[in-house]
Amino acid sequence: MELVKATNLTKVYGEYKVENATKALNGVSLQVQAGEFIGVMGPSGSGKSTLVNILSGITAPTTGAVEIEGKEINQMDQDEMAVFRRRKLGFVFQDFNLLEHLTVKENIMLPMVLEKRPKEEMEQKASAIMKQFGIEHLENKYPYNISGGQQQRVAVSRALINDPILVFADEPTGNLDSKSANAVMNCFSDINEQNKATILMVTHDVFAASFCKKIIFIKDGQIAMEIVRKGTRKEFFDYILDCQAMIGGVSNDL
Amino acid sequence: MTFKDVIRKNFLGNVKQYLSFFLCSTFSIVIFFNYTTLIFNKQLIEGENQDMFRYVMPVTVVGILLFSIFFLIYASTSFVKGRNKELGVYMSLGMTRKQIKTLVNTQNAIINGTSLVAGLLIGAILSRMFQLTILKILEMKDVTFYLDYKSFLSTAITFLFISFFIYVKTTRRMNRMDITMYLKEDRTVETRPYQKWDGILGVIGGVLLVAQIFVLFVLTSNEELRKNMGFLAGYAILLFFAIYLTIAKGGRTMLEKCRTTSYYTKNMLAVSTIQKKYDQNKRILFVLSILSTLTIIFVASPISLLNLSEEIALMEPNTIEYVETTKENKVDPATLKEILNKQPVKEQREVSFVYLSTTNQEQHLEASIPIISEKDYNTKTGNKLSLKQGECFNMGVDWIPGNNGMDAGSKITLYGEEKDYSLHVCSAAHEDTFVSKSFPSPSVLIVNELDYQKMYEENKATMSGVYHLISYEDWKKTKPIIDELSNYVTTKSLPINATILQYETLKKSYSTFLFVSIVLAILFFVSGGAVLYLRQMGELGKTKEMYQKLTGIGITTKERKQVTRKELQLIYFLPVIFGAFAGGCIIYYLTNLFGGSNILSQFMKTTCKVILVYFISQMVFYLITKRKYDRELHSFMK
Repeated sequence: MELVKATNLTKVYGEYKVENATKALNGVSLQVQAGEFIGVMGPSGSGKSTLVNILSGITAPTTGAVEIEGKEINQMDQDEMAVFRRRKLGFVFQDFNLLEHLTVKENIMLPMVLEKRPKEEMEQKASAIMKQFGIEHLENKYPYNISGGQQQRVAVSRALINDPILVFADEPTGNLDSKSANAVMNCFSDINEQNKATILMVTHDVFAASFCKKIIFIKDGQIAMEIVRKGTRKEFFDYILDCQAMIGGVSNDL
Repeated sequence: MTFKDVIRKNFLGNVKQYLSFFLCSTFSIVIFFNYTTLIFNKQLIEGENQDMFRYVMPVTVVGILLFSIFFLIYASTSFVKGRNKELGVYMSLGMTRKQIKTLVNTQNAIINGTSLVAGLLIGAILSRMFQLTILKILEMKDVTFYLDYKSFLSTAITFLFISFFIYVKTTRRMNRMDITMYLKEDRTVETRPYQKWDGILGVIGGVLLVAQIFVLFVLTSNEELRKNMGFLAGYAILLFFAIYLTIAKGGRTMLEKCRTTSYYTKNMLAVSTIQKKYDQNKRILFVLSILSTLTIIFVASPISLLNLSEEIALMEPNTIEYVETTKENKVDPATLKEILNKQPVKEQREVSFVYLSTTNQEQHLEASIPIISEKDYNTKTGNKLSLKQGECFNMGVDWIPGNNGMDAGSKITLYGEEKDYSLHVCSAAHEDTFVSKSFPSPSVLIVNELDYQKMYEENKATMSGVYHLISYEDWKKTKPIIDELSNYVTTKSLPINATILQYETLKKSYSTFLFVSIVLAILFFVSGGAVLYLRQMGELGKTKEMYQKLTGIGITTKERKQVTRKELQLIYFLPVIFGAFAGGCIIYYLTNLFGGSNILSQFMKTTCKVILVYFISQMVFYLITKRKYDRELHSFMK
């Protein structure tokens, strides 16, 4: 089932001064099927974060359209998009974006609080998800009392609490050590395999990307290449490295 | 680029924040300057209302000064605090502490200097309008506008002193700078952990607060207790202490306990945001509660008094009270009769008295006390006082609390022309049914008839007099009588006491009181509102960060506004509620102390109206801040 359909997306920054305009995306089209675990990679400034921001409705494209579950999200106003985001989407950020004055449990429950769900339902779901990610012992601690890896697992839990149809992750391992990064990526794998969550992850970390089932490479605002995992994760890791090397320079340099 | 360029660019980058600090400073200077122009106006200080201006104006200026100090220190502290992260980044890039101090102090000096110049300039321009308006309100037609160089000098010196104080405070603060503390500031939470004692103290605070109502009734229903200044001071201190405990500990406890309720689950963002800032906000809430209390007292009291001018004046027992003694104020009886009968008389009585000295030194009126017989007292008042020989009743005739040193049960000695008299004070009370202040004594002694006759016979030659007590049909038409009678007044110690004179004096005094109080009240109110506004705008950066984090989760505009609404409502209206409570209690106490139950209802009605107006004004402040806050957040979120 097609979950996301993006058609001919472009994003231009500074469009009023043509000579200063930056084309972050230049006619990108893609589809995401339900249950996919997709990584988006590319060099710095390639437009990958812009792509994820547009697909998640945080930024509007200059031209093009995005449909999620058949709904065109560009037609929604800010409030409609906010409600849609918290009901249907989950977001994991590089710098966790947890609220420092809420406990771990409260941070996780926050999307349900905004949805005005019953207290018992929130408590139950929060407990289940904390258990799933092995952070139930942290429920009454505050974010500044726990490690980065633990914070990111809290952020992942928060992203999943409302059973989103799609999870976006923007450099989720960017601020983590290798051990924590491994733990977080295993979480993503688990939710993709067990919960059948659809995940779209932006990363420049090849290790993190190796957990994905499919990688889209973006260069200069366009999709340069797509690869699909066929063998083991190690083999996929090597394959990604090779593709990255190819994408990284000017093509006739090789 | 040089270090000077860094200072300049930094200054230009923070212009918006500097502007609010500049405006606060300039506003304080303008108000202060304009008040000093009144103090240094010779015609006012040496004119007919010299006492008022000599004593009341400096009190006002001191009040304005204290609040300027508080206000400017608060503004500068929150301004510097809001730049902690910026300063942390400079330090991480290698800027030394000395350079940071130079950066901050140079910029502060520029703002303080420009606001002083601007304040003096604006103050000078507005001073003419300010002075003429005041003179018109106080009906001082003979006084002209005057501007003295001393106003400029005193204002400049005062505010330079305040700036120096702020400089010292800022420098001390920057000496304790720690780079990691500044950079990680947004990652820490300012609230200290909740402790069991918070709950206990919170309950004590709440109980104390409610108990104040009962204490109030107990104190005001007992004359001895209520007239004891120590009890009044103690009551006020206890009241504010109860408010502090309730806000600091009770509020904290409520927020903590709220976390386990379903209300918290539904309003998690709002309550947790309030809780996060509570330790800092509680001090502001308490200070603003005091400001609100003072505002209400300063506005309600003079308005009530002004409205009651006529009623208070009518409390005079006689429309005209004229005293003649053996040496002073002598009038031919026929002439006196002719003067007094120029208006229809309701009742006229002559009461003889002797006046004996309270000191064994040279006899003069100010050290004497009039003595009247119990027979004359009972005839005039309709009472049935019965005194034994050697006893006296101390009748207080002034509004001063206490019994002028002649409490019930005490013995006093009075000194006559040749003999001394010892009397036992069998009772003491204030009464306004016989005579008032036409004799310079706050008390009149009533003695046994036989004692009086003896005293009169032994002292009538040099120390006796007559009270002429007249009540008229229309007191408002008695001014010409008083003007004519004034020609026979030979000493300031025995003025004519008249309802109409009282009324005019009260009106003038209360108008002045009202003017002075309202200015202070407006200052308190504006300061309070500005403090809240500055605080909220200072917190805006952190709030924006929080909502940026929430963007990924998804929060609608309405939900965001609900959170900010709850937060702002608490800090804008909680002090008003406490201020209304405390102000009402203190006004109730003071009214009972000075005026009694007959003016209480007027005072309390006026207090309620003032509270309502204050509430509405605070609502305006709240709406302005909320609108600005929401707009800033909205444009940021877009």
